[in-house]
Amino acid sequence: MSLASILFASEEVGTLIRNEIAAVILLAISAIVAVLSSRLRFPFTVALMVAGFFASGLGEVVAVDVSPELILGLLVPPLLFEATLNLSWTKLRADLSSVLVFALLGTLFGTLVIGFVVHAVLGLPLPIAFAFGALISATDPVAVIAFFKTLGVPKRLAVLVEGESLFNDAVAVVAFTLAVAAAETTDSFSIGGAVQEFFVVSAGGLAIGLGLGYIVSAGILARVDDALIETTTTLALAYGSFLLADEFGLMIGDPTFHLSGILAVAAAGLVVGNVGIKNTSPTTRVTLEHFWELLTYLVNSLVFLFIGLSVPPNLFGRHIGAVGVAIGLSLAVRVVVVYGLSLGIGAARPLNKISLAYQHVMFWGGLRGAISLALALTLTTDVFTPDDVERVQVMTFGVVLFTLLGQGTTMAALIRRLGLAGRADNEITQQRHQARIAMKRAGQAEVARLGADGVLDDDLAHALNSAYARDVDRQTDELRYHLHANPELEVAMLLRARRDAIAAEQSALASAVMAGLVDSTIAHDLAPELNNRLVALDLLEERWESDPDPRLGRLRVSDDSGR
Amino acid sequence: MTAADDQTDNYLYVSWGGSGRTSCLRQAIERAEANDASLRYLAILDDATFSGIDASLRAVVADELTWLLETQIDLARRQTGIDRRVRLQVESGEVGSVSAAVAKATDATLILVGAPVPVSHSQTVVELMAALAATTGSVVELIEP
Repeated sequence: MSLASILFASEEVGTLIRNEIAAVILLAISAIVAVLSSRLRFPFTVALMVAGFFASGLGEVVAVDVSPELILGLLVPPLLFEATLNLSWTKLRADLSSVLVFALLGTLFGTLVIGFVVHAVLGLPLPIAFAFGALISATDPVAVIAFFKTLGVPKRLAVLVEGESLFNDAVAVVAFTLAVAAAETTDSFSIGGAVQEFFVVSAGGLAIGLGLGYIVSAGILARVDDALIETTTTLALAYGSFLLADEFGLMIGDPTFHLSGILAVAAAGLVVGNVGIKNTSPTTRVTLEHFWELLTYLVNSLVFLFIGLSVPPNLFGRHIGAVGVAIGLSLAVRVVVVYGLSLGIGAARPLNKISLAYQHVMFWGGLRGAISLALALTLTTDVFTPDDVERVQVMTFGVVLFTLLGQGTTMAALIRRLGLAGRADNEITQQRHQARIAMKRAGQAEVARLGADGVLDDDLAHALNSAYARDVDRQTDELRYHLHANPELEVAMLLRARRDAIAAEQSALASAVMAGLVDSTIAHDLAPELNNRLVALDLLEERWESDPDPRLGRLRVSDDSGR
Repeated sequence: MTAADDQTDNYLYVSWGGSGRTSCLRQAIERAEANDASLRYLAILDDATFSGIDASLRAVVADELTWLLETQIDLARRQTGIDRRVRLQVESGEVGSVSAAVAKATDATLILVGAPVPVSHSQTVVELMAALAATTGSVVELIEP
């Protein structure tokens, strides 16, 4: 008797309960995979897809109805909203034109070229070929940005990669939607008409997102000081802006007319993240950050599990040739987009020139992830043939897997080789010195203890103590020289130490409550003070760790900021 | 009245962010010590970064910045071995106008600009230094980490 037959033996078990059981099982799988991948140092998202393969063996138990509406309407909006919420307009502004060129021209170029080539080489009909071109042009920088933070690459490079990814996600989704719509319509498909519709749909979506984002920022976030209400409002905004744009046609009496819900979500997130959040209290900021981080984690986990469930390994073998074409093509197009557009940007705006080292990182860092997979899952056999849908899903899976395993795992080495990992090597040296000082001091303490206990002869104990003292002095001097040579490390150490100290204060407060020394109401009053200090530290850290003024750098002719 | 108040030269060290601040501060302390000048540390929460922030949060940021900079001054004094008083002043506003106002109010003879991150999208550090020199009549120099 199968697990499904046991669980669903009763006729009374409705669809809702079935989906609920499936969701619980998938979340449990996600948690187990997170623990294992962390211990085994294996990429979490890849592990989720593999787990999805195996979970597909559970059959009906994990069979969630993965409809296009579920993916586009429920899972994609949080991903985009969270990304835009954390995108600093101040940082983005200096390179906005470059980012928009990559996102708009790069994505449209990728959509058309990949679409035409897979149509010609693999025989896919044009609409689904363009749909594949669009979905595979959406880059996902999550894994790359994690490396950026670890390795301490220049902030401008992070902004370029993150900004391009965010905007190209939105452009890709719009292009994808148009391609699918073209397949659904009985009218003849024209590139000119699609481009015109693209701009109407995009501009309308953006306008709705900007408008709603501003209304929520000025009407709620600026006037209400309640973390729960404000956070709930942002959730309503994310889904509300999507719905209003997507169903805009209902309001004007034409149900077939849709604006871009995805762009509406992205625009709303950008406004809240850069306007609305400035008027919130530190407590709300912390709550918002944690809420959206959790929601994104859940959505990411589900998307990667769904693709594992949807694409059994045997299909991968059947379409291996198509996967090879897709990988080669996506890499080739990425080369043209990154190096070609960088050349154009440098010629048109010399101040925004992108260094070759940055271009290498942007090319190899063009990983594909949740958005590509989510869009591939929305393809249905109602519109396309089952074989075409299967091929596109397997190709998407193959490209995502290749970029995560091939590119993702080699990014750190590339960044180091290009000399962009400025802080990491310095920090490693700093930590070596700190570790040696700690070791020597421990040795010195042990010698002193042995001397005091009479285990060691007095003279020997003093001689050993002196030797250790010299070692400690030497290491301390080396650390001091290192910090003098790398002054940015001092600031980083100061901020980190302060953050640790505040965490210790929080812990002490909690312990005092647990021990009954402090009443919980007093702790409740004091806790926000510590949260506020952490938020203040975040803001100061962002400013303190800014790159030097590049315009000053050029005057000094010692510019390594990549401009 | 302290000995510092009797000194003729008043140095103003201005900073509004950027890495390598302690290194710059050390150099400012050494300059002040070498010329027996008083030293005031003006830290600015610049409008370009902090203007849109909620007022209560801005107060916490200023408080936290003061705490960090007092620690940093103590660190720099220990590192240089110079026990010279450094007056800390944290202000909010536009970098150029705040710097000029404080320089005038304190009769600064030398303005030291430390760890220069961009002032704003429209003004370079070099332009800021030229404007400060023109409006205050003080000598303005750049300190690099």
